[in-house]
Amino acid sequence: MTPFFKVCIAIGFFGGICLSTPSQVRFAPQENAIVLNASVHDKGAQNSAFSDLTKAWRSQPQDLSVSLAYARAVFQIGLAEGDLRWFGAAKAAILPWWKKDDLPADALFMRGLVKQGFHDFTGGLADINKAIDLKPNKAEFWSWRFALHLLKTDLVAALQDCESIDRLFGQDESKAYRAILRYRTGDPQVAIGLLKTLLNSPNYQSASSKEWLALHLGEAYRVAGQSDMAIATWNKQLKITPKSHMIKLSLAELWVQEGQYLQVKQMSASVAPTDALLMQYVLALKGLQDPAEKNLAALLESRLKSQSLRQEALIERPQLIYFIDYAKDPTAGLSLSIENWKSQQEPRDAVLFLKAALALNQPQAAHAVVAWLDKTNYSDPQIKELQARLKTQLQSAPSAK
Amino acid sequence: MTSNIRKIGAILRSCVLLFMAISSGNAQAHSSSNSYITFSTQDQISVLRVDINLRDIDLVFDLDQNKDGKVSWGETLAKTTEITAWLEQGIALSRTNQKCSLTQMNIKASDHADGTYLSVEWAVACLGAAQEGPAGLSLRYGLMFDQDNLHRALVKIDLPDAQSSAILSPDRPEVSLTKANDSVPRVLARYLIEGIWHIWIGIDHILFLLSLLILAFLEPSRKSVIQWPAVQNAKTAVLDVLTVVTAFTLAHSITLGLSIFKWLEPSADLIEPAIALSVVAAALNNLLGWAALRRWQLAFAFGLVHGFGFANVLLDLGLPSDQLAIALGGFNLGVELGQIAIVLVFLPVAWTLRHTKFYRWVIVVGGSLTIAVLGTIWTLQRTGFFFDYISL
Repeated sequence: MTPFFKVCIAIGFFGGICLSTPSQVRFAPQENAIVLNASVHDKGAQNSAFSDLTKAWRSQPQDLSVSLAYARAVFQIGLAEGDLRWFGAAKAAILPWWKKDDLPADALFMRGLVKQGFHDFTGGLADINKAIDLKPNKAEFWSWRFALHLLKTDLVAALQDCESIDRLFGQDESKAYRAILRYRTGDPQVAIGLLKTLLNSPNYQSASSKEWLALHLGEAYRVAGQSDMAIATWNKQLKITPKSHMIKLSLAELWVQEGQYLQVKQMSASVAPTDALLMQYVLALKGLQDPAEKNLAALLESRLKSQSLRQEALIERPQLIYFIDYAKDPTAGLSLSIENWKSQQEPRDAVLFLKAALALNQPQAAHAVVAWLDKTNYSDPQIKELQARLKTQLQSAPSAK
Repeated sequence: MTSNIRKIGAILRSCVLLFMAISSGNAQAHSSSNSYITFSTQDQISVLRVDINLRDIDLVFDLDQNKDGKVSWGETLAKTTEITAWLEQGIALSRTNQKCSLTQMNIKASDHADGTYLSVEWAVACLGAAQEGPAGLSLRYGLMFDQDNLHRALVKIDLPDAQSSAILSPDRPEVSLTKANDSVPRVLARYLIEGIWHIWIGIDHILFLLSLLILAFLEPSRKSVIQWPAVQNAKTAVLDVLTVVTAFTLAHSITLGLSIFKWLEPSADLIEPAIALSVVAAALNNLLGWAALRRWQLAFAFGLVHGFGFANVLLDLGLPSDQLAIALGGFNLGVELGQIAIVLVFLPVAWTLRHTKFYRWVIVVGGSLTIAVLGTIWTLQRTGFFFDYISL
């Protein structure tokens, strides 16, 4: 049975259940009852700017520059809130130019971003490459290309991007990228040094810069096995930017990994957690043997089933975690991991892939991850432990005797 | 210097995007936007129901009038006129290019896993509906697609003459409500697979069946069951297994048919605990030794109960009224094939182990006791007693 077929079965299974699920009960709330805890238009200090962009786009949806400005705004909100629906909004804004070749660099770049948001990494990279050809002096084009090269484990190209950033924008700017490349290739201590320097530099004190650097510094600490430092870094940052989805998620994942479930429970009192945070919350409640786990797991399952019913190939990490870490269906988890790994290779996906292979006693299935680890030299405490277990399983496998 | 700072600022602003790309990857996190459309009948009236996330409605209408960052139901109702007009221009039911009339019945809310939804129902009237049923009807949906390209409408058709589902997207915004490909082989295949699947995931049915089979490999005697000798002749064991399976099959086929044709419709509240009790009874019967009831009789008696359980599953799946017999036959055949597969796995294992103490103590005694405990828990769960939080 091919992995694809297994994925279809999993999707079909969920879909079947969903279709046979009775409709949700209808009710009439009280007039003062809150039915949406956070208005879509509540963007704090950015309220007015976002509102203006929205109005401008709705009145001139065929104007490329207006549409690009709106698409960029909603794409950034999507990244900050961890909400896929904003990517859908960005695509809707640039849809009239979706298949056009003759576009300015900014439009190609935006289209590339949206494409990679939908996991079309090849298409996204092609658009960004064209954008760089047209306008090589735009730093963000290079930064995204670097990101996609790393995602596809094209380390040579990623290093070349760092060198180009060096050459075009100066060495200071490329330090952050080099730091990321270092901790993704087995040298987290060097990355920690570089990121700490940048974090203390007076040039990097804007809120967004500090958040970004703190996030990576924490990640470098985590990779280096310094979990306490990672948690302290992210905790400190969370106090400054309490709404940051990625900081919250990174912290929750590490707390769950470290067995600090109570911390996750205390943090995740959010009224509308993202699927990724909800998944971590469920894992934490499971660790605490909290009776509330059942209801929240049901909520998560319901969300995943609705997604499965869409019959789309987009593989989301919460689904992988649900199958593998939450041990609901390691077989489906392994099949999805194999599919997912073909399009993107990231440390967290590697961990899940290894766990699924180990849980099913199929160590050979993880050969792609082993090759990736050899190629990148990446390691972190979780990977090390899983690699050791993999080695043991491989030695005791019948074919190894 | 200023220029340098601006440049660094620019690149670090871009780094916010960069970070997300390289460390979140597929961790994107809020479910994509779905709306749920149901077309069904209520009290002889065709009803179209649309549930759409209030988050999406808020995106279009900016419902938060008092700017407190939250949306109340009152704020939503204040925009009822605009919302209704928007909904009705975005949804159209038609028959042979003639638009059906939609009469709004009410606006309510419904809770889904990803938040509260606005739920609107319309009574649908189409020309020729009385004569032609759902044939020729088509549904066109265009809400939200211009705001969110990821938005999808998940459609469920639940009419007496047509049950189906569809996904509507910007690329495919219209669906025909006429019956899908319902050729005999397709209907047969669909329900056959459903039958196999149901028996395989129905752990209660499997344990009931296995409980009835484990003594088939021992020779009954007046001694206690752990002292029963192993059957010497394979034919005896196979015949015993066949008798039990046939009795079970015959019985559940009878009640499955009676229930599907609506001649006998006991409540699921009675049937589900009864199935759990049958598991307990079958398991405990194994420990009674010489005094045990004949297993084929037990299989037949409780098989009648299991048949009602199968019927409930089949009814939940929705049945094509003009191909009822094919669907029923396919489902029943699927159940039998699923059973046979289980028996074929169990038979050689039991035959091999039948001489051992392990078989008597662990499989017969231990297995029966474990199954009896599980059956008891299911009985309590299904009758609404405690253990509500235990998921088995």
